[in-house]
Parts: sequence; C-alpha cells; structure tokens
Amino acid sequence: MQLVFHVVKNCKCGNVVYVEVPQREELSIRCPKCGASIQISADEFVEEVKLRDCEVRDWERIGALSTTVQQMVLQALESGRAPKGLWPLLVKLRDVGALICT
Amino acid sequence: MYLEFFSVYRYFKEYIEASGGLLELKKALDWSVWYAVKWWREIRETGAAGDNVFAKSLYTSLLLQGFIDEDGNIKKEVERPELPKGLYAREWVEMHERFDQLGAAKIARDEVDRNALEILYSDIQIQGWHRIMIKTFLKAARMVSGLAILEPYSKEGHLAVLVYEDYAPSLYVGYEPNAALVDIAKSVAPQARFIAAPSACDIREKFDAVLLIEKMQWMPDPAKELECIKKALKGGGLLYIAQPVVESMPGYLAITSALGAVHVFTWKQVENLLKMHFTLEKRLIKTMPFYGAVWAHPER
Ligand SMILES: [Zn+2]
Repeated sequence: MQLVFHVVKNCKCGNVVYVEVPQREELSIRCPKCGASIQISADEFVEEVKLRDCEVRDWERIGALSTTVQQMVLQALESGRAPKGLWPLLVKLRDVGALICT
Repeated sequence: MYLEFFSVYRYFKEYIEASGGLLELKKALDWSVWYAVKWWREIRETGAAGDNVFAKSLYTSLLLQGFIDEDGNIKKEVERPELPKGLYAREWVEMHERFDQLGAAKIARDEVDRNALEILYSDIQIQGWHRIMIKTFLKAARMVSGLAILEPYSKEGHLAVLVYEDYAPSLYVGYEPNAALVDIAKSVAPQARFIAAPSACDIREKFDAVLLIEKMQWMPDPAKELECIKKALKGGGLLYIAQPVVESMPGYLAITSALGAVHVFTWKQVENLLKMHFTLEKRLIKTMPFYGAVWAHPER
C-alpha cells in the first residue's frame, strides 16, 4: 500500500505517455516512441493510493465501517486504487490487521 | 430546538436539499437526540456516568435541551424517529448507529477498543454529509481563494483536502501536536504544509485566515491557544469557526467528545472565549447544526 503520483501527457508525436512516480517533483522524460523530451511540472501530478495485493483479514472491522466508506474500501481493493482521502483509514485498517497488504 | 431552521435554511440550502429536504433533515436530527437519550440511559444504568467528556457532553446537552433533569433522570421520552430517505441524512443516522454498536457504557468507562474509535474518526471525515457540511459552511462564510490559511489541530489533513477542492490558498499550514498524524496529513494533502507543533505560538508565518472547524474541543487551554492564534493572524485577518456546541445535536456532540475531546462548550462559552481576542464579524448560526461564525483580528 503506497501513495503514488501520476500524470498523463500527450507527446507532440501523438503518443500518450503515462508517468507514475513515488514523489511529486519536476520531471523530464523521453517519449518512448519518438524520443522527444517531455517536461512535467510538480503540480501536474495527481496523487492516489495504490494497493498492491491487499486482502481483507477481518471482515468484522470492514463491516463496522459506514456503508459509504465500506463501499469505497471494497472498490479500492478491487481496483487497486483509492482516493487519497481514504489513506488515513486504510493505514489504520492495515495497522490493526484488518487489511493485509503485500 | 428547531427555531433556527430559517437562518439555517438560508445558509445551508444546499446541504438541506442534499439531505432530502427539511423534513428528512429533521428526522435525521431527531435520531441524534434519540441516540443521545439511549446512551445516557445506558451509561447511567451501568454506573458509567462518571467524570469523562463523553458523559459530560450527554449530560449537559440533554439537560440544556430539557430531556433530563439536574439529577440526570430522563423527563422527556423520545420516540424512535422514522428513518430518513435522503442519502446524507441516512449516513448521519448510520454514523450514530455505528457508534452505538461500540457500546456507550464501554466508551464512558474507557473500555472500548481505541482502534475502533480511531477508525470511526477517519470514517466520519470522508462521509458525504460531513464533507458537504464543511463545504457549505465555508461557502456561507464567504471563503475565498488566494489566502494564507492556518489550520489548528490539522489531524489527518481532511480539511485541507476539502479546501483545495474548492479554493486555491496561497499558503496552507496545519499544525498538530501528534507527529504521526502530521505524516499522514502530508500524504492526504500534499499541497499543504503540516507541522508537528503543539500550539500556534510555535508557528512563525502570519496568516490571512484561520480555520477553526470542529477544533476547539481539542485545545487543552482554549483561551491561551486562541491568543496564540491571534498572534499568528495578520491584522484584520479572519477566523472561520464552526463548532458543535451543547445546544447542537446531542448525539453528534457525544460522538465527537468520545473521539478525544477535552471540552464541550455552549455557544455563549465559545463566543466569550473568542471575544477575549477577536471581534465578531458575522454570526451565521448560533447552534444548529453547530455554532458558525466569522471573527476578525481586532487590529485592521
Ligand atoms: Zn513522442
């Protein structure tokens, strides 16, 4: 379970480049198709929580969440991605062993 | 109790509509009273109504609103309300229900699973009704972009997320005594800056605005902390306050109290504390669904 930053950039050649980094910082990359340089400023990145192989170990805890948030958590587990507002809750669920992430 | 509905409606039209209308909202608010009476009965029956903020919040709010007498005896029975249909109103009732499942007597005795309370806190912060409540307040208080904002007791950073969704602050600093929470907040709202500090007196910058949204209950010494906040505020700077008080929803006040509050206040007590250092700019609502106002640094 980690926080990642991603951005989708369009290269001059028409290629669509997806960039994902662990930190929000200014970046210069090369288009894998044409080799042109693509500049990305720090504030272009969108942050999100990435869940790698997380599974529920304590359904009672998950069941005790509010319906809305329960759905958000289950959706996050299914898609592997969660909105950043969910981060504190996911950290707590992991810390109490309700979620096991590898 | 619902006398304030007109002023509330003026400012909280959006929220009320999202809740499914005024009647739906009233049903939701009735549930807060119903649960508060239930919890009070449970902690009294088990002798758990001792010296803790949770019990104190139930006692003072139910007494002030005429549901119990001074000895704590229930004098007005509350009928189980109808379930509201609106999404936010239902979320609100469900929050009370989840808290209820933890056991009021256990909570009053501090025998409850702390992790469950911690998880409930984070859960509430992302619930739709809570998000829209705060957003509506900021809009009603005429919050604008471009301000240097200070957030006391920034906890997990949820408020910063809401602010950045609707405004573009020139600077956003949150301070929080708990360093572990500061790290979490940095992940939640990377645009903002979070500092591990016990008080606004430890913050060097000066700010245009302070967001005191559900914060005063955390301050060990509110009078002293408000003085520090005043020092951190520029002359003429504004303090936006939204604070659940004893005259607000007894159930929600009790929940926030159980989540680590050190105080409960009446709306008058809140104003008296603020008066020591600030001047009232505009009072939006006195009590329902919380005390909401804008205060200003006295020097222009
Ligand atoms: Zn290219």
